[in-house]
Amino acid sequence: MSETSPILKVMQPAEIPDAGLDLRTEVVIVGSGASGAVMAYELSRAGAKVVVLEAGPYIPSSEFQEHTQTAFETLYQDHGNQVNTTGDMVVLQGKCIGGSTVVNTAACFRPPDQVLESWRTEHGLENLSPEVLAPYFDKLESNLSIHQNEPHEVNYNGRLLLEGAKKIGIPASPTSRNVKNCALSGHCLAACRTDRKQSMLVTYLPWASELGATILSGTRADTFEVRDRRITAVNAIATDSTGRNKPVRVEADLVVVAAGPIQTPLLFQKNKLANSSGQVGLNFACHPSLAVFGEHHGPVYAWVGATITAHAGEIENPLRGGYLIEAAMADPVNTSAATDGGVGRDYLDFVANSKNFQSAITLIHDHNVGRVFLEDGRKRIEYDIDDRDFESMREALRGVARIYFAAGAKRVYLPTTRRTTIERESDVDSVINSLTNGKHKYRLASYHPQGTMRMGADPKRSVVGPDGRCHDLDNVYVPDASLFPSSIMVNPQVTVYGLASYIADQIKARG
Amino acid sequence: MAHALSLLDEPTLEEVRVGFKLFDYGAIVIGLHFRRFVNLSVERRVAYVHRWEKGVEIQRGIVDLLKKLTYLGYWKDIEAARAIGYQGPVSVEGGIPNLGNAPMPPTGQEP
Ligand SMILES: Cc1cc2nc3c(=O)[nH]c(=O)nc-3n(C[C@H](O)[C@H](O)[C@H](O)COP(=O)(O)OP(=O)(O)OC[C@H]3O[C@@H](n4cnc5c(N)ncnc54)[C@H](O)[C@@H]3O)c2cc1C
Repeated sequence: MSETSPILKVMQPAEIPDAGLDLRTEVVIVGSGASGAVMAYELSRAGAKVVVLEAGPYIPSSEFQEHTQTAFETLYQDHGNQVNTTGDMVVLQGKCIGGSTVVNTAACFRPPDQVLESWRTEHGLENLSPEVLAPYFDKLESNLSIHQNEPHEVNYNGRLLLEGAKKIGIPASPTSRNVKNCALSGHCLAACRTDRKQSMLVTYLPWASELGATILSGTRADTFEVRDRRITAVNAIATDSTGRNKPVRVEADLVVVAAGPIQTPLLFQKNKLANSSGQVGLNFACHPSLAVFGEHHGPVYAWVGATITAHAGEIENPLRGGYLIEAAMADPVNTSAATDGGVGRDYLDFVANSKNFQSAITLIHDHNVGRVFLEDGRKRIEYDIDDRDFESMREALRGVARIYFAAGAKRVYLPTTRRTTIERESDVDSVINSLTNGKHKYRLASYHPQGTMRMGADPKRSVVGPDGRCHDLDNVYVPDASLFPSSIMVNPQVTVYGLASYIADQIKARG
Repeated sequence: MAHALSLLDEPTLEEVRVGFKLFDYGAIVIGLHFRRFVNLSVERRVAYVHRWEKGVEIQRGIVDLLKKLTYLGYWKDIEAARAIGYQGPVSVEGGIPNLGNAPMPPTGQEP
């Protein structure tokens, strides 16, 4: 085993014979993202023979181009076009070796204690207390070089957020990230070209590979073979670059479905499994996010530097209307996608000024009102903003606008589908109060789908038990973001890593 | 725009086609311009877009999609973005070295 630089070996579809593959293993893991990768390493470390099936391609960092659209096309689910059924919210997920961790913006938060407490009282998850989870988070934070941004990692955009928030008394601080010696390229969303973001592609997957795990890319799990209360084999389809499909069958003692909060419930629905509670695919939440821009008199260059630098808001208080504001980079594509700069001349002026924009996104603790299902074989993500959540969104918008004006902005652009600006601080309340909830009124994005395979102690109200095992099946575990019984408001990767690591321990303890 | 459309799955593409036709031909009847959108003057096009922005849900949805696809297509050319001061790719150009895969964590980690 190499001490310094473990090698990630991936079997790509072109290497699979036309007749396909028939494998036998101890553990098969569907999905190589945040949860799948942690499980692959932890179970390999415990001596298990592991096979990982990943639907997306293997793209090494040397091929990343730091170009937003190219990244959408090659690294994201549905080429970045995955939307809710209404069509007014893009739901972003990575689809590649490493999953969403390859394209995420590296912000790291532990789940708020208040959220874990509500999981205990409302969902019977006595086991997931902050004290129990703390050693898992400590380990992950060390393994993934998670640290609070140092002064040089907070760009002018981030400093403006910190200064503005301080002036009006909103708590704010530099954000923590899983980045090692960040090159400050501003291209997190297009994947890290220089391997500084400690995504699963450069950490847990090479580590699992080094310990003997077999990792297949371009191989989509499709059906399960079931006997009694066990999945005995996963049938997958490997598709090579010419479009040729090759069957892959993996027989296993233990099955981990870590395909993420959209695909995991769809797989179980398609296979009509694990759904005695009727909850598979329900309880979808997603932290609907809005981007807000504040125009300053001079350049801010929010796209220069780290992608997420600082944050503001009552993050320990999600259940009492808290919200989170994150200073975020915005390149011309993201700026144009996130707010309406107008059409014709107005739009040209808007983008020409965009270097002067202060930029941030908002996150809220939304209710689990959505559902994911198949309709005539087509994926549907039914989710519209609930009126209660709209109030939290307005509160967050009010917070951002006030911070921007306190930081010296002369105008604020709101994330509406029809250009809406606030021209002076004294107009903040009246403009924001005039906003109403409705479809196709806001430029919504979700980076954090969650909740569709709810974890809980009661098999009638949840799909997965407190140890991560499906209530209805004896050898099937789900460790991904679909577990979350409620949304957590903060960026979820650390919670996903922590839960996956905890669930791996439950599997090990079971023997 | 054509490239962006080519990335949509077939049922979605069909819905988009119908939506854009409605938008284009809507100018004749709904817009009372008696011409398709593509044949209107620039001023009338802008006015027509603004009317759809204030319209019912489906109108808002169609015009918003049209705008988003236009931006995606426009900014695909990195030179367009550079013209407004955006840096574009930096790592290869700046000779920033790759760190490679992270070393294995210490053995015997608990938990
Ligand atoms: C653009 C973006 C920015 C984000 N920013 C942050 C951030 O700053 N901080 C943070 O904490 N979180 C962030 N997140 C969210 C975070 O990355 C996710 O919550 C986390 O990765 C979820 O882990 P997961 O294991 O549930 O799913 P994923 O990491 O999405 O992995 C699921 C994997 O399963 C694969 N898969 C799906 N179906 C199948 C199948 N049938 N067969 C085989 N494989 C399949 C997928 O291709 C994917 O690779 C961001 C996400 C995105 C998309």
